[in-house]
Amino acid sequence: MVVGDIEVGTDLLVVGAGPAGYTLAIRCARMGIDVTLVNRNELGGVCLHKGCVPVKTLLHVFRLAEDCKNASGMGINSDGVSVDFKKAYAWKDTVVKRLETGIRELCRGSGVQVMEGTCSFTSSSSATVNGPSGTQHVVFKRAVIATGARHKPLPGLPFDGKQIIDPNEVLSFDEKPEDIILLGGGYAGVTMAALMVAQGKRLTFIHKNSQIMSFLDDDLLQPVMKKFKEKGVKIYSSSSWSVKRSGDKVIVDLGQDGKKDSVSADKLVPVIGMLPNTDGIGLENTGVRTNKDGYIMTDGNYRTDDRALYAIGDARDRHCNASKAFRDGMSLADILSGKPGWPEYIALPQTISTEPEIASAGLTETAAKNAGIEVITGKFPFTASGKAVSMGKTEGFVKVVAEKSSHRILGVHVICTDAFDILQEGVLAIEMGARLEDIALTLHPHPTLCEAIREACAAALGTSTNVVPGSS
Amino acid sequence: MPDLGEGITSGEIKKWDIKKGEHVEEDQTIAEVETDKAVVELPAPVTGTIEDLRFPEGAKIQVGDVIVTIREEGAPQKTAPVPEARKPEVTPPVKVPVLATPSTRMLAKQLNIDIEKLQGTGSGGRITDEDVKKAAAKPAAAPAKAEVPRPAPEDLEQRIPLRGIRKTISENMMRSVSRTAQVTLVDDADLTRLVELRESINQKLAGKAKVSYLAFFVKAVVTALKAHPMVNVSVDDEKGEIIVKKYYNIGIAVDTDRGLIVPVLKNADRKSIIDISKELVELIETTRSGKIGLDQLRGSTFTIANIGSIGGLFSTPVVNYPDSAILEMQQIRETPRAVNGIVVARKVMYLPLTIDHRIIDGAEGQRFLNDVKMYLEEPELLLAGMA
Repeated sequence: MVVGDIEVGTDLLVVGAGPAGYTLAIRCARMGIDVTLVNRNELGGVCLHKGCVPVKTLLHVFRLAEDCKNASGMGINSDGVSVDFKKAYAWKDTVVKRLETGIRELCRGSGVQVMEGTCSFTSSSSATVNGPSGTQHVVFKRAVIATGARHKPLPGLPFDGKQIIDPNEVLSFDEKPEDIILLGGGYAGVTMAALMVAQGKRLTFIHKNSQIMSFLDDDLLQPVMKKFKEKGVKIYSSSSWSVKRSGDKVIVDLGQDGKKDSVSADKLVPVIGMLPNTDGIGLENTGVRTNKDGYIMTDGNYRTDDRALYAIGDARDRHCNASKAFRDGMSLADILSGKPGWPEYIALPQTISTEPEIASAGLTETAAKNAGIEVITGKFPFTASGKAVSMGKTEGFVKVVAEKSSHRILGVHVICTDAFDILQEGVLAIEMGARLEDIALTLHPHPTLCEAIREACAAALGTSTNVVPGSS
Repeated sequence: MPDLGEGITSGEIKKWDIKKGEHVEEDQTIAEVETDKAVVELPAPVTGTIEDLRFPEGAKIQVGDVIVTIREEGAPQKTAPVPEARKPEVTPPVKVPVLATPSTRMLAKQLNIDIEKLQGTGSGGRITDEDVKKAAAKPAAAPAKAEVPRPAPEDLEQRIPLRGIRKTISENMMRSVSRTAQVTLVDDADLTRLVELRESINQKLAGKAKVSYLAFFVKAVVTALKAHPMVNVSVDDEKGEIIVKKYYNIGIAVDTDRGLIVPVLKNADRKSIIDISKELVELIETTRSGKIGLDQLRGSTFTIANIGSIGGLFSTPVVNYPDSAILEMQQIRETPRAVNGIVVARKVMYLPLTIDHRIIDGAEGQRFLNDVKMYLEEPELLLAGMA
């Protein structure tokens, strides 16, 4: 140890303060465990700083402006409504800052010791933290790796901030109307595409799979694809691509069904997957093992091959998801305090900030059929919802998937404005093992968007009075 | 090494079929690996050039070990094969999930029951809390039974379930021993004057009442505790705080035919020796008759045990957790003792005091014991109300 260094001793070292890490740290501290939380920069992780929260905040601003413009028929004088990008981004920063302050206060109030810096393990019981106040050595009894994940760059084409853009930087794009190519058709790609469309970019969207977000049923995507096309987004599906720079343009050559095609733009945003932040943190000095993609391998109780080290959140799971990360944190906190941890969840809610929004939980019709489960489905379009009509937002529908024999609800998929906020009835139904009848026989407040979930269940049972049979 | 299935986790490299620098085609055999089940041919996962063989022939390898690196054609170096040893991240097969609410699934987890294996008795086969509790109440499965030694013939051993008071005593003792750092200090006291004083008082009382040695001990202890507040303490382990108590409730260890029970004589500092004597008689009788209330068993701050009536020279009592000290009364024995240079027969008792050394230092414990000893050797001090 270098003379003059300060050695910090802690019972539990938590590396990374995203949803998984800070939830774990706060809960452990409240249960009386001595916790030190190390974080590279701000508290809150990708979710708060580069993902869910800022994206949703900016989209809210852009959509508010658009809603006003579209509301002239409702009597709103919206001449001259526009978004001041600078102020919108400042508002986003205010939102993020406020929420971060909340997390910081929760940590402080719960007795979590927060250290800022980059953490690197030096053994199974020690680490160094390089921060603004120099290098500190930390000795711990147990440690939790919650370092999250980052966007994967294109092989051989690192992000350069000019032409090849890290998806995180989309959050600070200005109002210049540029041509942009987005590569990748996953969950994050679609979200970024929606944001860039709102920012007024001329977007070309290239994806490799036969469809965008192949984990969803085709029909769930139609309202979103329709909206993209209305906004002038060009969509390509390609079995292969190659990227090159040419002057101040980026060119993508596509191999499409044997044909060759070429697209050029000012900027390229590759959203081709995530890389776990498990490199450069000294795992080679521990017994932790990672799989070929770098994700940390653990047992069912989040424990790595190094018995003193645990891993939670995106660093161990390619299904990057904040809801899941919060739960990992809660569950491991219980395990570390000698309890059995939380049971497996059944439904993982997924929220996709498109227009209209997509919120989905449980099995899709396709997934159930592929697994040999006989299902019935029910759909209810928002064109038949009093609330949606009154808001002038009738795009989308609710689709429920239920086991044919038992009517047990296995999947609920909502496509509409504010879909995130009405999905939860479906998540609870799946977790509780509710049947279509349970929801259909439950009173719903009126007029609301959530009535659509009841109506979809009723439609599956053939008892809906609000749609014409066979119309969906 | 890839997962070869059938539960194989390791093997030995029997033979490399390729060399460094050689070109291999996808699915070409690159090595023969002997496992405990068979010799398996490992295929190349990609077409390319062998960059490195990481293990020599004869080496033991585990599933998941990188054994060879292959530079894929027209691509950057690829390390292969690196499948996972275990499959924690493989998406579980899609199926209709178990029919139980999240709280029932949590209960199963807490009771260590595999809920997937239960048959639900609720509506539509729903697994209820009761189903889970029922499964948990069943005797342990066969492998656990095998570990229990075969019971001896009944005439050689008897098996008595550990339950009731015996179980409580056992748990209390373990809690005391595992949570505190106990040390026993032993002194002796010349009780000749106490014996005389007690006899004289009891003569005067002429059967109307009777003062006991135990009552004098209670008074001596309370008086000494007042001078040594840091002995009348307990530790709040959860909050990491020492609780210094300004009330004096003395636990009295009582031998009953159901086992050792410790009723509590409350606010002993406010009572006279005669009152304490009377109360002790009642308390001990109630305890032995099994009619003692729970509130009479709680809240001791210090405990006195009395094994002297049975015998023994001295003992090392176990602290009555969460008390921090316990005093044992041993037998009063006629003992030769030097008084002013002359050996005389005196009535002497050993006084073992066990303290929780986490909180009470040896020196402080001994100072407390010195005071107790002083009050017992000069019991007039207690009567004079010097307490």
